[in-house]
Amino acid sequence: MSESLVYGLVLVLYMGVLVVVGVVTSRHMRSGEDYYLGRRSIGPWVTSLSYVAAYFSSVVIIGGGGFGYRYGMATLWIGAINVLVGCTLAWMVLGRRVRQLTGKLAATTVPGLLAERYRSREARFIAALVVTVFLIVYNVGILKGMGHVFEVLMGMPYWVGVLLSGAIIVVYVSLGGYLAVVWTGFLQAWVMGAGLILLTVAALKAVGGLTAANIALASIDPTLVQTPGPWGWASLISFTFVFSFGVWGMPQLVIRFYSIRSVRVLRVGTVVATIGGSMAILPYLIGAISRVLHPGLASADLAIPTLTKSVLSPWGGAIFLAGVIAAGMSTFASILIITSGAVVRDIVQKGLHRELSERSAVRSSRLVSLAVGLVSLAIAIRPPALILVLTAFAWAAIAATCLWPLLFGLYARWVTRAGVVASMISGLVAALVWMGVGSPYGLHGFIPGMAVSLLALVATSLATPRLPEGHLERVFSALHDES
Amino acid sequence: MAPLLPWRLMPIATATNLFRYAGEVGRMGPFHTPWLTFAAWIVTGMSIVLAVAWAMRSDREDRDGER
Repeated sequence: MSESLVYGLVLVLYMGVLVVVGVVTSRHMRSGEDYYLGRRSIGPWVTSLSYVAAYFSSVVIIGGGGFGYRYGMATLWIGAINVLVGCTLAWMVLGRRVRQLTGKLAATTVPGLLAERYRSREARFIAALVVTVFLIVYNVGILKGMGHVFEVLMGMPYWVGVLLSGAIIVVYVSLGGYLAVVWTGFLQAWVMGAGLILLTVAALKAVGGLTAANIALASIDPTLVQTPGPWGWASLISFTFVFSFGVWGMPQLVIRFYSIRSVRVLRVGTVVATIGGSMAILPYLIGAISRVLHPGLASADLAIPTLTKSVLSPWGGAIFLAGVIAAGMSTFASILIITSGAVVRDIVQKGLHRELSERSAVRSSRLVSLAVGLVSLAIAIRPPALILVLTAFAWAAIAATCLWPLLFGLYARWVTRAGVVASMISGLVAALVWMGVGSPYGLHGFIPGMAVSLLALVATSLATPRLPEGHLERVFSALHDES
Repeated sequence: MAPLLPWRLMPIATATNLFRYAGEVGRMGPFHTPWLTFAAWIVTGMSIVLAVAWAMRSDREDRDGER
């Protein structure tokens, strides 16, 4: 059987399963809340593994491998802190309170939560706008990763890979909404994990083990096995920070806590998400090994696809390809749901006060998912920059806008409406300006964005009147419920 | 004789030296990896231990509360 036929068979089978999930879940959808949150009835395994699948997209697998290839073993730290901060601590600190608060305030989106918590229409509008625009940028990074994989492994033109993977996602998300996203995410996490473990074992075997890989890497350049390595502390720390702490403000991940069945099941979810998330370290390792086996690649983003082709059989390569596509699809799908919620629920229904029946809200959400998908596809055909750079740009803008208001909203009574709006605007502007002037000192825009946003939140809140005590009582009494 | 550093600063000085020591390429940990790089694997493992410990503690607290 020819190599292309094997890849084709595995992919057709896999994508067929995803479309079936979309069709089946579409039958369970009756209201807007069903489309965005799947009736808040999702169990711990499905929630946590779909969280992992949405977190570690093709961006992390292909882009992370590219960073490992270029900067060596120090990038393992990005994966390690992803697990600790992005999975374990995120579930411990945010999980219970986000679930309780969104249940009490009947919020279905992140902009909606900020608006209800702070009684601020401005917060809703800013968050919805930023989330929509910058998640499209993130989508472009994801599609770019998938396009490269198709290009190297199947010999397809890059744009065909982008169109093929993007089209399938748009179809199943439009059909099945959030339920389709979490169930396909759950399946995709297993495929992704299997693909990563398979490639790691094959790569280590090809290079002669971890010790041999480190010795060979040090012979190319001794700094490739050191920390911080050729990248330097400022870049390593700021990128690690964006992809770990930044997660706490990412709507496509925070939304998982909205829909979990109850706060009690969060415990199991925390453990499963941490164990599943621990595979985040593997792409960086594999990328560094690829540097030993394939030095001098034209682009670092080709490190993982090239390695896959050289160390795995066609069947193994097909499983890994399915894993990467799974990773990309699950994140892309989550983003389509989030952006459609931001546009329909927050901008059209709440911002512009348009009355929509539940039926037409679902229909509009499907159309917006379709439109956002098509815009992302159009940009991804000729994308700018490295995958991980594109992603970090989008994450920095969203996190600098949403993270502190969200986190303080769960724990601090003294934050005011004006404080939140000041924090969102100043954080976004600071992050964009910093990245616009070329990220001086190798420091990513996320760090100044977060610093300015925090400063504005505290200073403005101290100088402006607090929210009414009755409202605060209602919000914080929700945080003691066990339901 | 007075100590070279006030005792309160000793842990910081020790940690700094340990950090420098671990970062040098000559100071190899397992698999010919400098200790500071190898620590990334340790942090990953410790995250799993932390998650399990937190879940067990949280479960025990809930059960004590119900009694």
